[in-house]
Amino acid sequence: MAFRSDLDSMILAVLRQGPAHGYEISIRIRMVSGEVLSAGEGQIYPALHKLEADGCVQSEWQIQEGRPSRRTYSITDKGVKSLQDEVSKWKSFRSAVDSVFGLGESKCQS
Amino acid sequence: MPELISQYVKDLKSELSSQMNPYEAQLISEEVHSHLLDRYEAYQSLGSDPETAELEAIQSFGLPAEVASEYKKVEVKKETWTLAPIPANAIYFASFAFVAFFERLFLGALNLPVVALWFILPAFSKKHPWIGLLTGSLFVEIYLVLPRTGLYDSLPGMLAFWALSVASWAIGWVIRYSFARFKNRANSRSNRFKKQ
Repeated sequence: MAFRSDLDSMILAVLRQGPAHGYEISIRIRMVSGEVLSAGEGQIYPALHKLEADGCVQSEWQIQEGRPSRRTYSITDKGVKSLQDEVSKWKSFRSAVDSVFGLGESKCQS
Repeated sequence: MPELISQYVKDLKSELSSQMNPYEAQLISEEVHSHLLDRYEAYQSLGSDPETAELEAIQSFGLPAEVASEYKKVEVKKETWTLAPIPANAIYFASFAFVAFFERLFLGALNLPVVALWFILPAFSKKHPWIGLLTGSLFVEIYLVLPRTGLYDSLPGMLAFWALSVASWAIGWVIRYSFARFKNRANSRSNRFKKQ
């Protein structure tokens, strides 16, 4: 089974920790991954748009004095379920790759 | 407001407006504008001069055309209640076949409900079924009009038929456009606005 790491899952994982706007999401992804992962900032908003259309996140506008309005996103129950499914798939994938690399217990007995 | 960022946002809004309704493009542009200003201030706090900070903020986001194409990739096809062209064409053709074959029942006159259907259908069809319009008109011409009058006498009626059909298509377009705008405005009003 192949696991495809994708921006949607990372966004949901960040929002699971608490609501955030797009800029904050990009910063959190970079910081939490220890600067290993960085999401293309131009890709974050289309991904959020799609997640909102799918019902995985919801948004709320905040008016800022003297600045453009900002939209804050939060995860929904459907988003939490979707994230749990992705985490489960990732664990299976990681276990399989570890086995092939000889890092974990092999599933096959020779 | 930093000028380069403002210009970038305008370019982005222009790109997005070509693929989505202008109101949605405006909302996305405003959100991106806020993001770029945050990034700009972050670069300045790291010691960049204003111009460099602006350029770096824009570069980290990508070209407007690239961002717009990302939105195109994730475009969600919305369910529509409008008729696709083929069913609409079939209904047009069937409506005139009905009139032609049951001519006797309607004493040689076009059935009013069928005529009403002819003009109401464009309001609900995604694209005006020009093929249906053409074939329906030819059907009426061949089976109903020509046997009674000559070609010259039937032309005004045919032209009136075409003109009214184009008018009904235009009305249908206005209805669909107004409905879409109303729906988008209702969706944006349902977002809560809080003062920060």
